[in-house]
Amino acid sequence: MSRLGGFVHRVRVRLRPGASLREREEEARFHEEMETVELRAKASGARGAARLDPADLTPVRDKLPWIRALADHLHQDLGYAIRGLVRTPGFTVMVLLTLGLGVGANAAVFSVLDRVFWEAPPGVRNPDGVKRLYLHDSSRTTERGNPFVFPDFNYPEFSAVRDAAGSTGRMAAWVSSSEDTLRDGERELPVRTEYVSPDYFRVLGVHAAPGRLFAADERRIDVPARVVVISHGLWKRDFGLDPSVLGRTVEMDSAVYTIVGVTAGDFAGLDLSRTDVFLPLNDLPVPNQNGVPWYRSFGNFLQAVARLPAGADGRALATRATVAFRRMQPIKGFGADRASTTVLLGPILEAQGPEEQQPAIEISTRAAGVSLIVLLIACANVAGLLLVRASSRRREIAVRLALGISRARLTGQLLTESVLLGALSTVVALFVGGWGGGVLRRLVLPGVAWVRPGLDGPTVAFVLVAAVVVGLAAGLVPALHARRVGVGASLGSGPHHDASSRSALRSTLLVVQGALSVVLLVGAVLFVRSLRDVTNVRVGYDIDRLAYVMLLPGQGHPDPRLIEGAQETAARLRSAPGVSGVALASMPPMWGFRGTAIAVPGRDSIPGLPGGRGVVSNRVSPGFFQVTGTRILSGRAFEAGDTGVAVVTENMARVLWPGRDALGQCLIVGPKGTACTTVVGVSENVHQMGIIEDPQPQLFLPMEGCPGVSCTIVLRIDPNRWSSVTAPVVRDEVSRRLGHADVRVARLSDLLERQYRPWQLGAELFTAFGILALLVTMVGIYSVTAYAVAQRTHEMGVRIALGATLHDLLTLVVRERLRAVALGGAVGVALALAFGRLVASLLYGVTPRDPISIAAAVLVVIATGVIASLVPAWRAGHVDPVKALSTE
Amino acid sequence: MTDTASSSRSELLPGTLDMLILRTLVSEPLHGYGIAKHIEESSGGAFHVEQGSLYPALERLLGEGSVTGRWAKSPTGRRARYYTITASGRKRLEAKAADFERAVGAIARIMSEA
Repeated sequence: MSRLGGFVHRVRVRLRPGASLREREEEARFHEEMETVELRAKASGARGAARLDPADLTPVRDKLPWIRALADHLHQDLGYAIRGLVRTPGFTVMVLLTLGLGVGANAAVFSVLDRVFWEAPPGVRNPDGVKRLYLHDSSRTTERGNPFVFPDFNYPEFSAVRDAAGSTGRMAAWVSSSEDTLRDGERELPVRTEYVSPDYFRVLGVHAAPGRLFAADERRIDVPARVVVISHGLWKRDFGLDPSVLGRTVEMDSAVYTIVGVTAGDFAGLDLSRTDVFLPLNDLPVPNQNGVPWYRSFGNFLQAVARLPAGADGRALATRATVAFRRMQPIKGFGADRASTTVLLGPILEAQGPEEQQPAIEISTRAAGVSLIVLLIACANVAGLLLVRASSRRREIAVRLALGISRARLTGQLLTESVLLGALSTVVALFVGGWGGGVLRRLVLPGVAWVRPGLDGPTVAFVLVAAVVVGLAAGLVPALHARRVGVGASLGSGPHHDASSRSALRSTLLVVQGALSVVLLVGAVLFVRSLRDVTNVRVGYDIDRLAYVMLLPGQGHPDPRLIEGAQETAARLRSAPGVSGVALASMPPMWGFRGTAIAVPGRDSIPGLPGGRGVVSNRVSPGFFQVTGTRILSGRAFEAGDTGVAVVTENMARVLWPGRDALGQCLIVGPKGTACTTVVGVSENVHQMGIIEDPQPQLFLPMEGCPGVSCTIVLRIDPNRWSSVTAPVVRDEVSRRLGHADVRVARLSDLLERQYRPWQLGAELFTAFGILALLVTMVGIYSVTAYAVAQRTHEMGVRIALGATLHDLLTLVVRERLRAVALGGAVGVALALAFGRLVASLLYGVTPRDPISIAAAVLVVIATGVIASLVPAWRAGHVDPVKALSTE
Repeated sequence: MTDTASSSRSELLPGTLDMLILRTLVSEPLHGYGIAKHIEESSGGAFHVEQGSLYPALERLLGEGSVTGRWAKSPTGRRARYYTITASGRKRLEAKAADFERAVGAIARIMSEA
């Protein structure tokens, strides 16, 4: 071939010398033109911008097979991109951090949402064919006004529905997992256990490997089976996959069980928390209530699922189940109201079901929106940075165009660079996502023992895809823009002739960032204010200053030793450090209540009180009101030796004696014919369970000492000294005197912590993401301003030479940025108003249109804009005019 | 290409231009200007290849069959002749490179005899 080529050339030269001469001339002309282009580029003073890259000299090679050409191009583009990024490490690091944070934040949210909302529990065969069962009582609504749907069945209900289902679906039930201890010889293993009906594994399509699952002998609900199945995870973690585990006996809840099997695969139950040990329902350790075993009474703690036959939609099952449910004998006061209740089917994933979701889950969906906003801001920021970079490389690009690179190729190269940036940012994103995901899981769903903690496959995949897509999206704007660079104009003109469309584009990006930051900050302020308002809700007790020593009601009769011990403890704690008062109560305030039947002489019924169940009451010692901080509005509190007297809450006084003074009125407490109990005081209203609730009318009765099985020592504490000083002393005292009893020491604010969580979570999430967004926006404003100022060094020099003061220049530079940021603020306010209703149900005490919150957010964003542009502006003000003017 | 820059330029050793051209074409086909540019860039600006020596050398290489030339449209629409190294060109390059190594080694030895 080469020989032939040489021959052909020689022949051509000999036969057509004229043609060869023309070719030589043309070649020489081409060479000279290229040199001219390069010289001009260098002469126009590009500081390194005109440096030629070998990739510029790439010719068209249409003879190569296209795939090799493509690979070649890619190889060159990658090399070009890498060289470019290495040359500007500051830019590269900034982009990687911005993208990494943006994508990582989303990965963190994704890792939570994926398991909660989308990923079916592992190890279940054909999860779409498995439905959860719910009861819907149409006669009631939840406190938040949603349909009254709940997943809890009692055993008689479950059996009735299961037997009625027949061929329309095979059913199983379980009691959700809880923590327990498994004793294996000397070892004590912390495990999560779940009690399941015998068909549970078959319904879910879970197999045993090795061993067996529950069988026929576990079917008699009234006969303890004493066998357990352990999960593959536990078998691996604590038994080293030892096959001899089958037949081994272990101890749980003071009963001995035999391990009969191990579940195959990753199966760990249907709840969010993993289950390690499965026990038969027969072994559920619930004591008989009044001689009735749990499976004959009203313990509504079973969850139920059904496996539908292939092709069935479950309507037949739901119909039969509803009929069977309504035919059952009602149990008064407990469970669902039969006539108005329907059985519903829902997906295997709890979060997709018809039940009202816990606020934490709802908030996690808002977190998705919030993190998406952060990602958008990051994306806009990176696009801005890339634009700035493209601007400073305009001359380089122009030279490359002059050298013959095609515009498509140029776009390809720029996009390769941004995709490369996206790909590199996955490292940062995986780190941020892994760490943030852990934090978020603990924050949103602290009680959940995750089946697979940390980064899982779907999350990693999410990061990879998201990072590249975002990199590409951010690169698209500058890349398309670069196509419009004119060869002549860019080479010929100086640096201060900035294309106006480009600067408009950068301003638009700033507007977007400012607007989205405002939205997030409005959210943050709203949640922080909600949290503050919730914390300040007056519940009738000084939440922060109360701690309880609770003697939990045990089985059987009052223990005299216990009562004595409690009274002694109470007396001792009076002098404990950080304790300013001690009282006794039969029920811990806001952590439980009981009802007492009352009557008012001369009235048959009492309007406004739930019929038949009496009123909420608590027996308390003298000094109780002082300790809890409950205000006495009129009359007096209890005194030592009080009997036959009562204190009622203000709302109770209003219900019982409307328009009259409650003091001195007579109440019959207990059965008819009992003597009068005289009202001696009216207290403020007190909450019974929730921070946010309509307080029920409540009755306080006096007591001396501890009344019996249920007694609580109420301590008034100094909240700042509790954990460090008071709590250890109290625990020590309790273990010395009440060590044998079931006692719990807790601060009321800790007991109520769950109730504050939705607002706390909202405040934390929005604040964290808001600050992140603000930082990213700050970087964006800073870099764009710094660039614009650098481009105008010459102009600044002229201005200073003409007598402009530092103040003039600062105003000039800052005002320009501020216009974009202020516009962004306005857009942000509009967005916040439009999307406020998405969080409205999660707020307390403020509306999403709260003007103060919105104004605060806008102010913060504008202040950020001023600060971010002030630094480069300051630098511009200190330009040496002589130097500035000589740079051209 | 200012005057100060040219003063630090080295003369190419005789006979090395062909080798440098062939070496340049190993990685990709290029036009004459591209070849000159590449040699200049990769030498860190030490060598500047003038048209007067570049094109005769290319003619020579075409003549001996070490490269082939092909006219193609450059992306800006201009026609340019692209040179591609042939198999025999590669062989020749290897031989020349080996000769060169030997020569450089010999020179280095002489120079280091202080």
